[in-house]
Amino acid sequence: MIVLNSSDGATFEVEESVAVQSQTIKHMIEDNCADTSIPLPNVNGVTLARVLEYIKKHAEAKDDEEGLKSFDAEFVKVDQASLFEIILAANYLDIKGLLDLTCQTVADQIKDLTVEEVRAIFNIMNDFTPEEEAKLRNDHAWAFE
Amino acid sequence: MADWSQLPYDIIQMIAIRLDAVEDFLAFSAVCSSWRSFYMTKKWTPGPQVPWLMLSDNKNSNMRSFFSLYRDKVYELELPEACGRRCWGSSDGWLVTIGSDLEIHLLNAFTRDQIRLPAASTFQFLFNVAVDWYQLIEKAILMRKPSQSTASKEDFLIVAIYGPLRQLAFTKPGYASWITVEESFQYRIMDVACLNDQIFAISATGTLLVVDINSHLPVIEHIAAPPHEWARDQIFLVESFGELLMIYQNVYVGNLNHTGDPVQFDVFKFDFGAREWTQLMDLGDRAIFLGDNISMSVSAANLINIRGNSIYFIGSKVEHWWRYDVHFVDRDSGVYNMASRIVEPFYFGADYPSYYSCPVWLTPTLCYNC
Repeated sequence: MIVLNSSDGATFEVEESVAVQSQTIKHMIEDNCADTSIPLPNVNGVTLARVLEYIKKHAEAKDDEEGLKSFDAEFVKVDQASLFEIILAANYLDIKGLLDLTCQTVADQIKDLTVEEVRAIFNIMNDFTPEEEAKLRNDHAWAFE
Repeated sequence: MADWSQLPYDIIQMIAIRLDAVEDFLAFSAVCSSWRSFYMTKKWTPGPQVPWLMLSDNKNSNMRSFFSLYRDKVYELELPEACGRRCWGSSDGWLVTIGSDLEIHLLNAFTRDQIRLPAASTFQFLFNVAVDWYQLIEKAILMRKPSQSTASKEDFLIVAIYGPLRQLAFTKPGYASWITVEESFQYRIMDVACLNDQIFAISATGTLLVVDINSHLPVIEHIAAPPHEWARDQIFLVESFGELLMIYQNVYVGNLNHTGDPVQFDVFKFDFGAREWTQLMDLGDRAIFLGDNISMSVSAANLINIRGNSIYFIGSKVEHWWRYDVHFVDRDSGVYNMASRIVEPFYFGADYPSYYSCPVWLTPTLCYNC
């Protein structure tokens, strides 16, 4: 069993065979950095719990393609803030399947939307200078009418 | 509070490459400066895209309308270079155009770059023909080697089906004339496709041919007989995800024994091992686009608004266009559903085809201020 410590001090136990779905954790174990526990300062407790839920499911139901598909679909039905944390955690922990799933989810949210609609969904400010803004619009005028 | 603008570059790239449509990629890249970082690398290489429909020439305007099936929107692009010219679409943003001056060009609809090709006067005819300028070329197909995003002009190959005998000729930018494929007059070529760097042609009788343009004199060779001897109105050849497909289009008007839609399509797939065609009843999630353009195949799996297992077709038979029948009976355009074998209309707004101009499929490309 491996012990993981989140940034806010929560502790999680997980089987090594499950934990190595994270390439980051796998390398830490191989490099013998996992004597007592593995600190993960970049992931908070709530998010780490979610990520562990994902890798546990994918370990135990490995051959159940249909089951994993519906699990994945339900897994990403979270609010935008949580999705953001999960993407960053998947990236930091280097869990390919979770990264693919979350990036695809974001891409699917963006499809068929205008720039303004995308900014609204992700609560992003337009930080372009007027020149930068104008450049993209001029290069592809048709897209921004 | 999640600050999505603070996503690391790796993730921005991973999201961006999952946006196949030009419109989506541009919207994504215009959100904020960090989300634009992948666009700035000019390394976006999307998969086959859903083409737009370039609507007919409206002589009163320098703007040309393009209908996006994906976004259900009409875009206006400035394109005076296409006015008064007959155009053929491609899967690469370029049009092949011919005018009454018999000049032939490649025209990029997005950058307005033009590349002059040899004039139609360099076509070789077996005997004197008296056809109008817009009838000289039946179909012009632009083929381009899949290459890096900054492909050079040497990668262009243009194949033309020309004249009343539907002969074959090809050219490249810089050539002095069109090169005729001598034996092609025997075959009455209907369509051309490129697969694995080989050029295939299909004759009016459904005979599959391969064209070798690299030898000293271009050679055309018989590969396979048609799947059956029945007549057909129109034949298309499509390269689709590594497969070679042949599509027969038939119109059964007035055939009381034929149930279902008057317009029918039969699709065949070529088995290179057995050198024969087998009928394909299901296209899976593929959508095929046929018209005055290179025949195209796109996967509709991850796309909304596009129907898989369907054939989107626009004919150039102008005489059919004038029948703006509410029920679209006999209209030379629509979406053919392979499963139900029924044609449904798809609406692309007002369009005014003429004797030289009809809608053509053209795949949008992103040109980084070329």
